[in-house]
Amino acid sequence: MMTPVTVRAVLDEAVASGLVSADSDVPARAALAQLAQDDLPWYLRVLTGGAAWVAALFLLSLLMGIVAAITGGAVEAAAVLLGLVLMPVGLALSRGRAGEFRRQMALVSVIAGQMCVVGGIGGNASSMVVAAVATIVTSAVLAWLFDEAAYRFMATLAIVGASIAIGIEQHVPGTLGMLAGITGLVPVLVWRAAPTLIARHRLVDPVAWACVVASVGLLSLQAVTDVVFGDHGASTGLRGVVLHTPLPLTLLFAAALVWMATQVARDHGTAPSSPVVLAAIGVVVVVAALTCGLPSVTAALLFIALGFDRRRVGLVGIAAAFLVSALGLYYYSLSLTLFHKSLLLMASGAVCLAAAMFFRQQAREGAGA
Amino acid sequence: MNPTATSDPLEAPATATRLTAVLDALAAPLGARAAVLAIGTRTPSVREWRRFLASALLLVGAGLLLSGVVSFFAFNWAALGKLGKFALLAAGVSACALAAMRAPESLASRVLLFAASVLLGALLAVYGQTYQTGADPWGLFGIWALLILPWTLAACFTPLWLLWIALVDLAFGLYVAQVLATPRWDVTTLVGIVAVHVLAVMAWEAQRLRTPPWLTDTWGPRVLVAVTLLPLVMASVVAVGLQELRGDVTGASLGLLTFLVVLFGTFYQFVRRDTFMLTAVAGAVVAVLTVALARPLLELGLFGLLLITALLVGEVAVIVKWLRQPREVSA
Repeated sequence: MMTPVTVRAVLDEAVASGLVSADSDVPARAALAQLAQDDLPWYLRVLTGGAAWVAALFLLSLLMGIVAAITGGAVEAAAVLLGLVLMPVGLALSRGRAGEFRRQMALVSVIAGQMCVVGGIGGNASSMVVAAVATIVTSAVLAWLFDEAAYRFMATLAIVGASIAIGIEQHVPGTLGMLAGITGLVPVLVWRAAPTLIARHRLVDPVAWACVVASVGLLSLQAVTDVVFGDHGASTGLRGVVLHTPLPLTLLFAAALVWMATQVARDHGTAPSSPVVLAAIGVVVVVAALTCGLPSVTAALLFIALGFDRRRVGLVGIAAAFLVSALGLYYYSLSLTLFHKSLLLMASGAVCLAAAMFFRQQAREGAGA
Repeated sequence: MNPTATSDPLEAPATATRLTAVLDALAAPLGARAAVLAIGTRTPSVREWRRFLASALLLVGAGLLLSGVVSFFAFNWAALGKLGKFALLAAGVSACALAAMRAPESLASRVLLFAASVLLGALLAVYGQTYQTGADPWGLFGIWALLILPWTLAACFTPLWLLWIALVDLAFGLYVAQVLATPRWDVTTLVGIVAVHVLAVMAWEAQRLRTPPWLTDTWGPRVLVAVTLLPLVMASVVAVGLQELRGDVTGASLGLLTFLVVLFGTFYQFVRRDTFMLTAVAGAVVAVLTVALARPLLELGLFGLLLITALLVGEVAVIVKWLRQPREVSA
């Protein structure tokens, strides 16, 4: 379904276009061999990130123990100072070609330092909101400065978590829904709308992936809340942060899908009024209208399309798994009767299958031409 | 995916990271860099988009339709008579199985066989509900697994294989717990399920040597190994860290985990290197070892905290350095 573009194919086209010299194979191979040694696959990053978090907690306990022993009462102020020392130390350790031990220590030092600063500021102010703001500011600054994908991923999730905390504390209505929408759009903006950002992929890729995870998590949380509480809610506080009506989210994701369809058409020099583009847009509009009560469907379709467009197989896989679980949760949703849900789902399925037949016909005609 | 030591690195997928590394090596000017990155990250061709939309909408549409059908019959279930229920489910199974025969090698055929397998389970459940013979539930899952085995073999579809293994796990677990009901049924269940998973992974590795392999997706055995190791790690952590909660199951888990670490570690290091599997194994060792050493180290107070931090950092550094060594098979 998804044929990856190889480095060889890109180099051949670049040579043909005069962008690089014809003898680029040898240095390119050497660079890729070196990269293979330096780069970490995602599961190793998960392991290092998780271990760094746990190590940071132990380091933090050690440092706070020492601080408490020395200062007695003024732990918060000392924690902030300690954090302001640890973070730059971690950044310095990460510069240049660092061995594995140094890289791990850099990650631990930065995370522990940030926790010290956030804890110290929050403790001093005795305010969750102040701690959350400190989290957002420190995470944003460190994500910019600290060239470590695992940290940038975790920092983005920390920013989302802190935003939720602020929303709950301040009783901002629809917090979860707004954040689900924003985090869902970030990957589209970063990977599609702003192609020049590809040059800063080391910064934006982990942020975009974290936003995908956050969006999927928040949409799942909304679905679970709907299943457990339906329209009645549990408490005013909880209902306050959940987006009461899922329609705005569905509209947002559907609009993003339609926009993507027009962008892909533009890239291929196809008019938006061509039958193929109109069919794609039509499917999006009809499915969104039928499943407007379940924004997870349009969100999943958006991520599937984006994953294919940007050749990110992992994104397609995550979106597919998310769609399956969302449909499973929808079965137990209390917002509609089983009968109404069945009609909406069957109609959406029929529309998708009809569109699949249309595109299959188009693919055959294109292959025959 | 990382380029391999034995295949041409230039045949690796053109990610932004790889292209940037190549452009740095070529000292390409800024304008050329942007253009090359744009070539590598542009949208797939029209033909690829049409094929993708046809396949993706087929799968999504089938999923939505199936969910709708399940909801519809759930709503009307009480109103249907016995024969109506059987007829509907049997018709669904037959329709999916017959439709799958139209284009046996296609993705649609595999999805239809998966749907037929799921519906067959629903049919057996309704049968068991209607004619309550007092039979144990393990029989439902066992017969379900037996009946869908031919389809599982024919489909060459990893999700269907995982479903089949889950059914075998359930049948075995329920049989041991409810029929055998031995005093150590929990340990027997654990050992049996782990054995099933190990055999499944080894069977996958063995079929991989066929030309052509019957199943090529690597995510199937990886999911199986991760799902096997995770509960064992959690129980082992309890065994080594919380002695007051230690029992037969936690002790058995520790023993099984040790066996799996040696088995998978040896196989995926020396026979077919797979860094995902080695990472899973290494992660299990780190988790259990750290908890085992943390308990005595914590008694040293603040110095112990420093040692634990250093231990954790050191463990991960060693693992990453080891797994970064030249590979024969990409992760």
